[in-house]
Amino acid sequence: MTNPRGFRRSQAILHTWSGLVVGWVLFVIFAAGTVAYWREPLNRWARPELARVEDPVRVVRGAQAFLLKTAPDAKTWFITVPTTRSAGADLFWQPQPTEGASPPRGGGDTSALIGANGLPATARDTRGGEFFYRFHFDLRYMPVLWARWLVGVCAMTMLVAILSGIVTHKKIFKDFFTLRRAKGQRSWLDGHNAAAVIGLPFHLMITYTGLVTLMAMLMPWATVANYTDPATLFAVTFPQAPDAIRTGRPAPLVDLAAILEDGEHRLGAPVGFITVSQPGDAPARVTVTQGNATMLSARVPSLAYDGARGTLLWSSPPPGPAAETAGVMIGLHAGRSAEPVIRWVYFLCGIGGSLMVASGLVLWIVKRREKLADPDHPHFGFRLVERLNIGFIAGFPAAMVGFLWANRLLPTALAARGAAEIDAMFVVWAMLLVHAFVRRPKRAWVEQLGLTAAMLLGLPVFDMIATDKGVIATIAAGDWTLAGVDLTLAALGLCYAWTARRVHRYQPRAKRPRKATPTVARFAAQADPAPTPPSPTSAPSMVPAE
Amino acid sequence: MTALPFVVALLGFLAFALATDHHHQRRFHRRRTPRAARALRILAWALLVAAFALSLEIWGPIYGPIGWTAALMLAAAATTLSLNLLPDLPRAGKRRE
Repeated sequence: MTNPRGFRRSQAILHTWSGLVVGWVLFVIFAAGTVAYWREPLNRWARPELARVEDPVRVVRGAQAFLLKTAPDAKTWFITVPTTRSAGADLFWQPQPTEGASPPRGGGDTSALIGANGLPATARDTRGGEFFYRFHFDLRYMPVLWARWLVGVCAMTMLVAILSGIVTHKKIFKDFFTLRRAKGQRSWLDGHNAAAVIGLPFHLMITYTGLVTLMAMLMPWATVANYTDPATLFAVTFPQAPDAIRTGRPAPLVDLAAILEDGEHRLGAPVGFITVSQPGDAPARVTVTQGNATMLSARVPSLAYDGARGTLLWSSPPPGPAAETAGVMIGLHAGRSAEPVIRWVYFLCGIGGSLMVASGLVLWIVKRREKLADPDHPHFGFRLVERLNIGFIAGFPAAMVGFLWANRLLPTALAARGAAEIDAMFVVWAMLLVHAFVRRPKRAWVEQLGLTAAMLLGLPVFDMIATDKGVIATIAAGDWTLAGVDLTLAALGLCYAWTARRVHRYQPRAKRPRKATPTVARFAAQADPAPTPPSPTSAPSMVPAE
Repeated sequence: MTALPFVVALLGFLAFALATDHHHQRRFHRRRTPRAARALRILAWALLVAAFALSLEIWGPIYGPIGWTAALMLAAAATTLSLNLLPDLPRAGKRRE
């Protein structure tokens, strides 16, 4: 610390290597998390056969009728209260535990979806937007706990990379508005800095609050020291009404719609979730929980009612300051309460963060290419990073679009179709990773970016031809949630097409720097303010000198 | 109405950018004077503070600061991209010698 230059140098080394080690996984987490901000719209988009929910109360009544018929003596019913933006009401129920048998795993035949008309909906089996949300922190094909540790370690390293990056980038304010174009390494550095500095409040917030969502797992000491029993901890942090014990005296359940109305009146906000314990029994209890989209904190209050009489029994105590702080941080991270405009800002910031990670990874290559002893035969480490960059930065977004195509193309009768969609995504990704290693790097970039563009642009066209939820139909119906998905896919497709074209056209300059043509500049300004990775403003120099 | 803090923040960041030598020369075709740079910077800070007050007024004490931060990021991105990527406009009053 006595020598500021030495300190800065050490931070630069820390930034470079901490960024490289976790960069690829981080890009995947960032990209999936960005898409997950459209979780609900994608849930609807993934089931085009469902009608739009216009009257949520009607759906709740339908849910009650369905559950009364299907699982009248279940232990618990769980009902998500739909909004006009969701695909319908997701239900699941827990059967009465039988003596000696472990409770059945998986929600195969203990879950259902109630559509807009209040009847069980027959929709294709899909995870929809939920997949991107879960994948963002649970990853896939590995135990959830390992995945969360991996994500947690990546997030911590990200925090290290951001902070050391701020120290390294000493001219943070002087260079604030600097974006030199078509200048090779300088352009990549400017793009990386711009994506990082402009979105810095978001990047710091999202990394830190992301760690907060995992804090009890990453740093369990505070909870271990204070609570010996997980059940006590759970009861303190997530207070719940005392358990209902089944008596065997039947008593009809009150109308859930009436409780819903009373609950929304008392809470002063829409209800998101209804739980019924011991339905049809005398001590039955109905718990309504305020919707997550209604307040900043993710610790939402709840009320418990007597299920046979409909009277209020219990209301959740206000959370303590620590729980409230954690709740606000988790709420900030997930952006569930965000109105559409702020949600768009979250989405754009997510793209900015993905661009920051991607440009940092490419920068590692660009910086080292100029110093290669033999540019025609780079050393193994260089080739590995270069190929992995292609397979992750271009390949993973292509695979995510592959998931959406699988949602459209797999036959609806396929067994375990929801899982097959996800497998399809990983098959596409694996093929693109192989492709990245066998093709020349420049060809691989162009082909993968071009493929992503074609797949993105094709989806709205497919929707128009093969479903009755094409973009013209949805706009005509005023259904901007669905129209927005198709239009966003098309806009991203144009960004990818433009990037692919620029990489394709790029000729490494002899010695004299070329000046970019005005047409290109104009198009870049019209395009998405934070275009798709890799950054178009500096796309050319990612290809190797040939 | 919700766009107002963004517009004010955008003007603020434009003032910040035009207070730098590079962008001042490129858009105004002359070197900045220290006084002009200082005035632009004071204007810029005033606009950012105004955007904060507007955000609090529109979104309230909880969502106001979040909305303000969002407006700042959007405005900074819009300023950086447009100033660097838009071609120089021919100016009507540009002197030719």
